[in-house]
Amino acid sequence: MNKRHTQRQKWWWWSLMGVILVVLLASAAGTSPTEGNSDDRLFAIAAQIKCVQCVGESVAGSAAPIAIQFRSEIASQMKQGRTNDEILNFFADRYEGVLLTPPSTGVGSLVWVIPVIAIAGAALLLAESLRVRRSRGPVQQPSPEDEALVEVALEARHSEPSVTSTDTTDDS
Amino acid sequence: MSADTPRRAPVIAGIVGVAVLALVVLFLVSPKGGETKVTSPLLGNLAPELAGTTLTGEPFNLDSARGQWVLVNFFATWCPPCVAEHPELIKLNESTASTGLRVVSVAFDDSSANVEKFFADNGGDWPVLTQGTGAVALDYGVKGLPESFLIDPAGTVVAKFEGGITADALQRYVADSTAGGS
Amino acid sequence: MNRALGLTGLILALGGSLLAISVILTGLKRSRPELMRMGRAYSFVVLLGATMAVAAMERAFIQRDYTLKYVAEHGSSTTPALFNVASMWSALEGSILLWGLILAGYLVVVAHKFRKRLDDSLVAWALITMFSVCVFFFGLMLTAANPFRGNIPIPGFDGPGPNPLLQNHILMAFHPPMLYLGYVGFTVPFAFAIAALVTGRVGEGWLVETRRWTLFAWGFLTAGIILGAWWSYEVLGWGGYWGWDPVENASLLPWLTGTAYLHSVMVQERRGMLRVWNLSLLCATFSLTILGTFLTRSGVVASVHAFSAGSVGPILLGFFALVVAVSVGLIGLRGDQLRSAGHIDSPLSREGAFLANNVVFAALAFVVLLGTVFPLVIEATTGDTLSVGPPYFSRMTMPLGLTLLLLMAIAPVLPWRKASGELLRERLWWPAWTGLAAVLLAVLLGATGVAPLLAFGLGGFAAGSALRQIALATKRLGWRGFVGRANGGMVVHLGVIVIGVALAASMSFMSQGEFTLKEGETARVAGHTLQFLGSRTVDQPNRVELVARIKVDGEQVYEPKLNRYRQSGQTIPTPSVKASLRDDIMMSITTAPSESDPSLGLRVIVQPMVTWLWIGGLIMVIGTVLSLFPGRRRNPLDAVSAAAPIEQVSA
Repeated sequence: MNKRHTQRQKWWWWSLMGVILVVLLASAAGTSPTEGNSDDRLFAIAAQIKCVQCVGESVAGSAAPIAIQFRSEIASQMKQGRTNDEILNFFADRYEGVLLTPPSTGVGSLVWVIPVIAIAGAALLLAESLRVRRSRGPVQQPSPEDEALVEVALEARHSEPSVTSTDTTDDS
Repeated sequence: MSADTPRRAPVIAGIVGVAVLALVVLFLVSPKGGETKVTSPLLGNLAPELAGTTLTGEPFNLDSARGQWVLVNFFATWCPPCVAEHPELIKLNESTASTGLRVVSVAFDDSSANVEKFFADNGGDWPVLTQGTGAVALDYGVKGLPESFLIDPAGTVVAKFEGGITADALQRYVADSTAGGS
Repeated sequence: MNRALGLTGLILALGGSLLAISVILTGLKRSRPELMRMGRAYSFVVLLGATMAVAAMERAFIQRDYTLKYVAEHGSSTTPALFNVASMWSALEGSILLWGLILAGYLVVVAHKFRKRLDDSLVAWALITMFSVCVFFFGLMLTAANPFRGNIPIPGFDGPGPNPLLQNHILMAFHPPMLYLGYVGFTVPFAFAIAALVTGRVGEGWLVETRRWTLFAWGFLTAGIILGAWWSYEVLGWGGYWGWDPVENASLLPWLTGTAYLHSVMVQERRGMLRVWNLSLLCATFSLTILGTFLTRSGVVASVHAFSAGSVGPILLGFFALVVAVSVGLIGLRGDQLRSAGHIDSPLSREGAFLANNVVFAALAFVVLLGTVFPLVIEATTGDTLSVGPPYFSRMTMPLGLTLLLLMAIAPVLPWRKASGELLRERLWWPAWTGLAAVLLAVLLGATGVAPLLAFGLGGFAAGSALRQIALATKRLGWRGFVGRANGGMVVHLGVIVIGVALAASMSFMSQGEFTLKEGETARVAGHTLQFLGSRTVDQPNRVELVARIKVDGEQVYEPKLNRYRQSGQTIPTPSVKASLRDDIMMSITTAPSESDPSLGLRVIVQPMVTWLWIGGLIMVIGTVLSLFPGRRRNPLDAVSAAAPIEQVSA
């Protein structure tokens, strides 16, 4: 490995990258508007309400008269200084199942919880089966010489693009 | 990832099978798109405020109609099913003497001029509200047009009708409720 | 005449399939190869029947033959020629007819491709499976979803034409056939998976046969989904290309499991592992296409795409249950024969990354499926109504999508079996800097928000990795560095990354406004000016169009329309889009000027990078085509068995 390549192994370069990334992310963190009378806020709220007259559209998207009425109601409530939640609840009280975001309490919250549990469970199962496999280990331990040979062979192959080595064997 | 533990395969297959079976059963019991039931959070509750000036310039307040059955009808002249429903409303209104039922119409997203012309052309002489009705429609949870709410003498919303009503059905409904109630 | 021709075609196809199954089964049972070889001839019979039926239907549409109920309901003398042809798949029965034709097409190609091995029990069972699927679909067309029902038209009758939304954009002519080529294409790998399970030959042989078929179907499904998104964007006019509508979700589900399979199959080829998993993915993919069809056709879920239907729903549901039962049963029974040859040495390896990829794709599929059926579950159990809409799906899929971008950055540079930290640092050096540069660029351009910035950064990172692989491959192989599965796959990755970045940008940095403009007035959105020049009404046979003239940025004039359909009274806007590589300006009329109020209600949505979604889609399709090209020719009929020989080849 030449000098240029050893640079890449230095930890500070990678730490520097991480620091730059964090600084950039922190400097540009933004949130959606929660107050004011901007159209952006209006449509952000409207996008969370189902258009009751249409199928598969939100109040933000629909041109139906009732959706236009909803939007003007949102606008007037925004002018009255209501919060996003207050405005959403206003509609939820009048129309059943009108909010496109499922509730975070009650039975409805299961739709949030189940995937998290399932994904975590799958990941754990996978990690466990990998661990078991590895701890069982190969029947015969390779000698250091074997490993050195493999290392050389692997190095030779991977210094070439690994894609091409797969290519020759994988394509029929 | 049961590939490496074959004995798990039947178990996992069984679980997947049961899950899919549950899904199939669910689809079988689900109501189909067309037959959604009419629900409203208003049912059993006091009717939201409804007041204003009618087309003919008289003041109207729903509260003053306490002690009477009231049908609040949301409509628009640009909505074909509403136009189709109109004769039934006329029929219903004409028979108020026998049932003591009042009709009040609320025009949604429509101009007073249009509504005036509509009533002049098609008949009907019950109170019609046209101004500031958008907010009222939201208070009543109106989804589409036409939509009607039946309010009992105590001022409680007892029924909601999505789509056109018929005079006969409504009268029967009121008659049944009065008979059952007394 | 058309009716008789069509019905004859359907009966021919159904009869051919039934006969084929019994002949091949007899051949298998009595070990008579000459019977098994007849499958090819029968496949042509099925195709002939399907072609006859489709030809009859198209002829009926062209002739406006209203003695067919289907034509009377969906045809019209005012429909333009192209949409008239496309009318066939604008509703339930006709779309199943299209499905049947494509299925018959695949059947013939499979029977022809394997013509020398028709007496091989694996191929025989695959054909039996495919013929069985044919029996189902042609049987469905002869019963519950018969497109050739008769009708006695009143003299002078003219049909209503297809749904207005379906006849105002050219993409409607291409989106459904593409989607169906994808959907139906998954029947082939499914058939081979079932054949492998039935014959017990669950080694790698079946897999080699089906790999390219899967890729082919996957490519069409990808193109179909993207065309569908494009259609929504151009037609629906609210700046959306993906609404997480149940039917859109239904098309996404098989795409997700299919994509998972395309990755995990490489682990099986190289290492002989994940056999049950791969079989399950193929079975799941096919089952999900049927489930998707059921969701679209049964009216169980409300959707813009849903067709109303009678008894077709339960029949499709029954077929779905049957497919799952057969798959699950076979996998359960054969479980013990599926002992895998190897195991994963280290999570930090190519196979480890593929495994992680599969977990993420499975999770995505799970979330999408759960979100789609959850309102039904709640309604069935508690009676409550609730909605699971776009906010849910975007929130749940965003972290998974970002994880996928990260995997796309790391996985391509990972070697098989085991990788070291040094190796990763060495290979990820430039990709990592590319990612960082992408974040920096985005911040300089004024982007805010952690999620979109992460998407840009990871996108840059992943693009760096993919470009590195392509650069290395082309350096070594010249132009051949672009073809073959691994290299073409990197091109597909680039397309996915472009789409990912475009999604993040267009969703996060959308600005919009609703304006009331009098003639000559100007609206301003996100640095663009829109001047309302005036409007006019145009009378069309079936509707009145209000056309507004809007001058954008003082240059070109765009003309959004508002259509009021005479018959239904429906008002449907036709938006107008000024597209550019930087951003799209979508203009849609909300209220038309009237005598009492001469001002125009105009909705304006400005979204950056939307055009890149379609470009990304194109790159994905090009990548898929490149992947289909063989890197090096090999006789496809060569027997390839378990992992060991493959290892020898590569050693």
